[in-house]
Amino acid sequence: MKWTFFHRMSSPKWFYDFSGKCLPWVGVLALGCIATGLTWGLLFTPPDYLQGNSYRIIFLHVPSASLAMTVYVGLAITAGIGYIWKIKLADMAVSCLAPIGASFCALALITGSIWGKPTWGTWWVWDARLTSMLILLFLYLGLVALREAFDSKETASRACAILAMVGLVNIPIIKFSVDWWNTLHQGATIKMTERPSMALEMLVPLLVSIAGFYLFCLFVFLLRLRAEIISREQRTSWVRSLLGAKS
Amino acid sequence: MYFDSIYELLTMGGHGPYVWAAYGIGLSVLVWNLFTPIFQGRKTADAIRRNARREQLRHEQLQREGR
Repeated sequence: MKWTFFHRMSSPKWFYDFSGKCLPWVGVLALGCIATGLTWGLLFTPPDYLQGNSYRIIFLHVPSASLAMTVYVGLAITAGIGYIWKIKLADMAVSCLAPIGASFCALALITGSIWGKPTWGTWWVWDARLTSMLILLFLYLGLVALREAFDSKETASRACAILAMVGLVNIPIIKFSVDWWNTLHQGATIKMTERPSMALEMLVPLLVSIAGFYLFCLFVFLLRLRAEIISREQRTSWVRSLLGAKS
Repeated sequence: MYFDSIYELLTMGGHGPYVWAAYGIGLSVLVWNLFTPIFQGRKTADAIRRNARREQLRHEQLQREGR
């Protein structure tokens, strides 16, 4: 019973129809959460007692850094599934996730750097957290470039899947870098096992912003994947009739 | 609002340029993510329709020539 669901889900046509139904809901929720979280964080929270107003960058920095890592884990798992079971849709998803992840990873690095200047007095240090995050950006860019380097879609798909799975080793290094090494970067603000080290009036807008970024990521991922499905399935009759292109 | 005046909101006690630059870049990343797939999708759809029309014309031409 469960397996037939997976099988159906991996059909590009089924996924195109299904995602079309979810898209407006995800979009509206994402927009609402991001607008609320960022406006709340920017205008209605008190300044930090130590860092002053510069800490307001957290409402962008933490969601984008968290997304950059989560997207990579999702990408690597999808790549593994696509590699083992040769699912076309999984490879399409991998090709769509790489540029999205790269953009959020770059945003995390840039906002971190801007935050670092007034807080640490420097734009950049070769600290474990910052360096491992930079490697993550290179992995994402590598995935985008590697796909372009092959003429055959199948070879490109296999090469990208292997790179994605090998690169997964970097994720725990990023996550635990602040515990394993004595870094300039501060420790985790929100932990699964402990109470957050943040006042509630700052924590709530941060959580709203994180939810908004995750929903936004899902929204643009669906948009990208739908465009990719149309592009790769353009020879099929359902895409032709969908676009009103008679053959 | 936490800030007393627009001036305070913009300067944020000296941290204004950092905070606003970060939010500006953040917004542009969101906009880029939103518009890239929309334009890409439109470009692909147009190309598919164009190809289909070309095929159709070629087919009609062959029929006229009696081949």
